[in-house]
Amino acid sequence: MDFLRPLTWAEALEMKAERPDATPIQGGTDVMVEINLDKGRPTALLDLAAVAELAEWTRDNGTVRLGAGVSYTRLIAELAGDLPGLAQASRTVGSPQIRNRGTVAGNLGAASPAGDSHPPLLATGAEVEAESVRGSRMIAITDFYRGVKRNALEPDELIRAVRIPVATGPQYFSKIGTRNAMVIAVSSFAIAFDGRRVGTGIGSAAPTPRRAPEAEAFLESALDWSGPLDADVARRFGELVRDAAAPIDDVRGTRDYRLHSLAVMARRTLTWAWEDHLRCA
Amino acid sequence: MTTVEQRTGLVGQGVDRVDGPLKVTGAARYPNDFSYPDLAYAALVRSTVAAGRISRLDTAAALASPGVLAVITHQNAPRLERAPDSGLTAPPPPLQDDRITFHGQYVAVVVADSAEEATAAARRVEAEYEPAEPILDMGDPRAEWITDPWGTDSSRGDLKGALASAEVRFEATYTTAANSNSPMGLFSTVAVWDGDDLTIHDSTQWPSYLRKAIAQVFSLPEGNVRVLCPYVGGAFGAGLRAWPHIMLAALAARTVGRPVKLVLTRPEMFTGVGHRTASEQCVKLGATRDGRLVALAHESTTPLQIEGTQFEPCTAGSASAYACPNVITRDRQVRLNIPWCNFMRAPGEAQGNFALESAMDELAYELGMDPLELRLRNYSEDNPRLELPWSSKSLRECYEVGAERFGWSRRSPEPGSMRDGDSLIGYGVAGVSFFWYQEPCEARATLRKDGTAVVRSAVTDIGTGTYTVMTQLSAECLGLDMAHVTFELGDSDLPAGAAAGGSGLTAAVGSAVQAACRNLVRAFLDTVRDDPTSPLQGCTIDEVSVGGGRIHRIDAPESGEAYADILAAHGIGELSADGSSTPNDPKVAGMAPSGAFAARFVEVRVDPDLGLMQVARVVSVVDAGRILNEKTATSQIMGGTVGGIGMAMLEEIVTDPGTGRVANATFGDYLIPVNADIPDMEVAFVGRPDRFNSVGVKGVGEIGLVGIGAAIANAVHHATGRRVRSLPITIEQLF
Repeated sequence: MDFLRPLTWAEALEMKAERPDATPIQGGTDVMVEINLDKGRPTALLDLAAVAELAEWTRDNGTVRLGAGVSYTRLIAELAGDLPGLAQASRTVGSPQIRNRGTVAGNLGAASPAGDSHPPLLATGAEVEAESVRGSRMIAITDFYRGVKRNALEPDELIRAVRIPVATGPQYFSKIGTRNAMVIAVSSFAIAFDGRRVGTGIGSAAPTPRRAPEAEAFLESALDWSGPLDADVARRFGELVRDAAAPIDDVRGTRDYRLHSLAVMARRTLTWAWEDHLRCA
Repeated sequence: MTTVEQRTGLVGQGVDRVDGPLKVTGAARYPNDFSYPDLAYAALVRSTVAAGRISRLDTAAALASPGVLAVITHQNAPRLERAPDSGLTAPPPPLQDDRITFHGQYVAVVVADSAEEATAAARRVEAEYEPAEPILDMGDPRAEWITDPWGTDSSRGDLKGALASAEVRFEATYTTAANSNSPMGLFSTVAVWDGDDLTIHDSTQWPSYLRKAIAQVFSLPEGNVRVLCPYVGGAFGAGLRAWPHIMLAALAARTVGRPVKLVLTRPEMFTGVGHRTASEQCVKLGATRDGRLVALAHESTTPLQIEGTQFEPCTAGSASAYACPNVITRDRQVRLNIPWCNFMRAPGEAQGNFALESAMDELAYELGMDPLELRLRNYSEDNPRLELPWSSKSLRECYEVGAERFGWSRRSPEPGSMRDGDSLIGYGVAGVSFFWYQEPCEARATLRKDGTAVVRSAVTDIGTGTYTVMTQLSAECLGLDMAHVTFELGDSDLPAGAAAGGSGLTAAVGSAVQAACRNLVRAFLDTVRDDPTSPLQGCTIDEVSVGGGRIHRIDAPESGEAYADILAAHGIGELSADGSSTPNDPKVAGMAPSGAFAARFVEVRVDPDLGLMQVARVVSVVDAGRILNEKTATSQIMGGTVGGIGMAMLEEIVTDPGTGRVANATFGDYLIPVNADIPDMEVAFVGRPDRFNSVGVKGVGEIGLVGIGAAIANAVHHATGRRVRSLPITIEQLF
């Protein structure tokens, strides 16, 4: 196994162009687990930890540009106000040690349907900034996930940053695990209000993370933005979120439980968001 | 029994661990911390079938790998003898033939200059098998059954008749999953040969036995083997046997003529050092309408490795748990192609108590009675099996104090009737006992000319606090400050020690330490017997006491002499004395040895929409006889409680039904509790010093785990109306 260690972003892109087979590694919280458990051995590792510019984030025109090397710990400490949904999800990632190492971009690179970042990224309409020696492009988050552990990156591309709109309304994330921490999601859900638009994200309940477009459309039309939340609307929203999922049975949970829990989480997160909405309105 | 101690009040105090600073600064050396010049490393190759034979084993590629010194298989391994049966039978020595009896059995060991090279080469060993159909299910008709494996089954009265005529009958089947001991410290062996002398650093709980076992395996005089284990990174029973990997480390070291280090991987910890058996249990209860038990039957079936042995009586505790005239308890084992079953904190009782105390709770609901009241109504004042008085029993006080502290009276009886917002609240209780097993033990106490003492025994401190409590006890027995006493353990060259297991170490080594210290005071009295200048001249042991580094007359405390002064006056460098302990005989003592007792009170909160359950509070009130150190004893109960929560909510070894492979042999897949799963735990001790051993203790190492499973399941029922009869309780069972 070759170990490539670029010191600059330009160098990283050149190495990736030369070795498209190389697996990028940042915090190692996914890649090293796979290697240690013998679930395949990459021919080369491209270690991005030394590329300093990746560890920065900026805010511009209502969008946070989150460098691919910004850890969950920093996101939680520095961006909980701008990106509350993503910060909530980040708090549920692994342990403090894992949050010190792990990154949102790493979650995207691994593209596991159970990754905790995905639902809030979907709910907020984030974009992935992909770059190669050929140039840079923006990939809408809904186009990014292509299958179980597959994403839309070209073999020579690396994730430079994730662009996430600064929150303009309430955002919530909810996750079910088989214990209370250090656990992979059985199912997860995120909701984000942006003005009178509603975003959703479903995790761990389909081959890829996905939105629930019908649930969003229903809510946007059914909500009376000034009054209390209609219990029937909340219930129907939960059902539509549930109907958008396509989960399987696996060691962590059953298909039925995942469907059921999504409906409950959707209803509850909507209720929390609605309370915030009314308080702020 | 009289002792010279009990003067300073040092024993019982919650003093800090004497080994604490060493552990938190990393100065405590665990087995894998030891290194030697020219150290080589071993890595293991494990079978990928559960039954059959090795048909081909090609080691050429491994041997050709960088740094490889040797590859040992059944084709080139020397004959090894079987270790002696201690009641904790060692598995057969590895690499002796081509037979495979479980998935994960060692088929080769690779030795190399570095751990990485050994690991890399181990992957290159090519093994092919002629597989047989493994027996993996207790229902498999080919499986061999063993009835009453240990002669512990019991029967009294007329169960059948009493059940038939009982006003209320209850019957149910309960199951528990297999659990993994999973100590944090990966088991490690460093083996060093010097001619025919072998030194082993190992993660053992019983150095005196391991020395004997390894000596026999390698046909050596016992004195040629030395086992060192000053610190062990947890074990929970996994360190009680002489495991094959220890033998392989020694074999590898002898083969390459260099010291060898072998550190098990986490997956190997799941197959190589035992596990708690799963269980299937049936409980039948008969009672009068007013809640008097008239019949109790408890039958259990547990799996067993196909060539293994394991003492795991799940039902034995039920024979003496309640005053009931008609009782049958029965244990059976079924031989399967699974890794070795072994002791894991509170073996047998952890599973058996879940069944019995769940059934008692169910009976209470049938009777419309408070579950606590049902237990008190059937309280056994004497041991109903031995028909002897208990050596001590304060379980009633455990219930009373626990109920008060927990606030049991706030419980509303109807299931599902207590709620806080979205959460259903449930209260559960379980009564608990855990017997302790004492073995013979020896100790030596030495006083040096500077007035400091060192007390030694070949026991271990697996994190329980043995270093600390034995330092306290020694200091008190000799009348010294703790700072002037050192307790040494973890070396088989020290006086033969008992196992750190069966909740009996403190009784065994404590009694030996007391005897050694008393004999040492005697030796000082002997020294001054004819010394006209000594105020202690002619004193007998019963006429003196100790304190402040000196021996003094009880009738004239100012008349005494310091240890150091006696040694100096008589030109003696140091004085030593031995002491030993053997278990008491119940018939001679005229009493039934009591295990520790406890009442466990648990509050759970269940989110009924999502099936999520959280343990909100645990109150444990424990009668463990005399408590030598309130802090370390409390830690033992809290640690046991965490283990119990794991057993109740999370822990389950999953075996692939087709292949017999452990499917979740990592900490990512085999879930143990994290901090967020653990509530506030309140621990209180009640009771008096036990009469069965001279120290007055009953052991606190295991009882903390027992009863948590039943108390949680009972609380879940109270919260939700759902009765869960299998552990662990998962989301799917609650939504």
